[in-house]
Amino acid sequence: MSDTRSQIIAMLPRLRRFCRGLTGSAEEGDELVQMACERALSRLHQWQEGSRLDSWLYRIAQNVWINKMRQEKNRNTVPDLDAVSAVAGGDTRQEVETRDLHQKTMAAMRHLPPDQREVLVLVCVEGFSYREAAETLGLKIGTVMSRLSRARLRLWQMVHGDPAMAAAVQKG
Amino acid sequence: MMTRGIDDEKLMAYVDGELGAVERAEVEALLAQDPSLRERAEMFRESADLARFALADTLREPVPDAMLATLRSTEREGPLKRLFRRFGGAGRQWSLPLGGLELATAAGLLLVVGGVVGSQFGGDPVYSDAMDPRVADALSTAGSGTVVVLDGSDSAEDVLPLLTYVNSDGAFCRHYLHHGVGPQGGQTVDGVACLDDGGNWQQVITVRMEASEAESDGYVTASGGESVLIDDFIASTIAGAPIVGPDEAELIGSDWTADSSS
Repeated sequence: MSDTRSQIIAMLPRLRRFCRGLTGSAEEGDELVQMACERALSRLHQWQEGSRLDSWLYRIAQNVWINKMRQEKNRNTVPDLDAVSAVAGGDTRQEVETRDLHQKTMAAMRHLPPDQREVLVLVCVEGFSYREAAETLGLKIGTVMSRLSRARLRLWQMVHGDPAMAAAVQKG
Repeated sequence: MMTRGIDDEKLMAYVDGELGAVERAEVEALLAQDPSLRERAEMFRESADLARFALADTLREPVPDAMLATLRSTEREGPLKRLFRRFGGAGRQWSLPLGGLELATAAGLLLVVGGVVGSQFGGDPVYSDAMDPRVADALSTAGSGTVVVLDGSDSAEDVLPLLTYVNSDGAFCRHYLHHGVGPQGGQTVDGVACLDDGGNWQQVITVRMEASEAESDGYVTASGGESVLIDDFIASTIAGAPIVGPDEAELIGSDWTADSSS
């Protein structure tokens, strides 16, 4: 197996995390990883030795995802935020609260506009600098920053149930 | 939102450690005297934590086998490399006869690592494709690893014989790929044909597959499951070693009249 291939395998957990963040769902995220890997393998020759393999993979995943969303635009399904608040019982209060917060946060991330979500995941989860995120996504730094600040404001307000933000989110 | 001369983006950049020393000092001076600004900075910090928290478990989850199989099994190989991988290279001494399982193991990685095949012939083989006389002709005349472009097709059809062997009935068989079939020539047939008593090639197993999007290297590699299927089929029907190199050339030169049992 080629080195690059082994490196991609080593990056799979992070690629999964990125794709899960991008899609807002474990299943769709894994599906995206699969598609991104297939595409990456068919284009291994395009990857430049010495450049960041993770950025390259993320960019491929992001492109695949954008194309997929474009295709699915007509059957636009937005997950129901309320449906996520139901939590199964039987665990300690702390566990329930943690899980509740987790579900709420994932649901809130799904509600973010995709272009905000991808910046959020790259910077806050994957630890990219603004410049690295801009290069990976082909954006200006200013665009990265404005999307990122809006994403974080929205995320926070959705999770904490800020009524003023809820209205803004409805509009958005 | 602007709060006393500092906008959200700058505040966020401060929280994220993206500011230079001068700007950082400016922001800190403002933060020291403005509780609402501190709250807002805290919001930016917490929102990043939330995003991390939402995805934190992902790294601890085992990577699904299917994902690993994708990366391990679809390596693009030339036909010769594929043959070498399957049968260990031309210089290898063959012990006869090879058991099906041993050969399947030699055949791949795919079976062993990917766990793609559930049953021995899992998948969806098609047995009924009629033999195209042009394909039959290519199988009669071309050595393994030689691409034969078929006449009379606008969609660039070609046949690539991959392997020659004798099956357990004593018939000569060839594994081949037939590219450019189906609508818009977008499909590839991965198949095995054997010579019947009348000297005609008969298809014994074929798998049709879509050529995947980026086949820039001029041939299609079977995707994991399909190549395993054919590999598995060959492994269970081959008798003895594959016929390679000069032996194959001699066989073709004799118009397949050599005695396959010798």
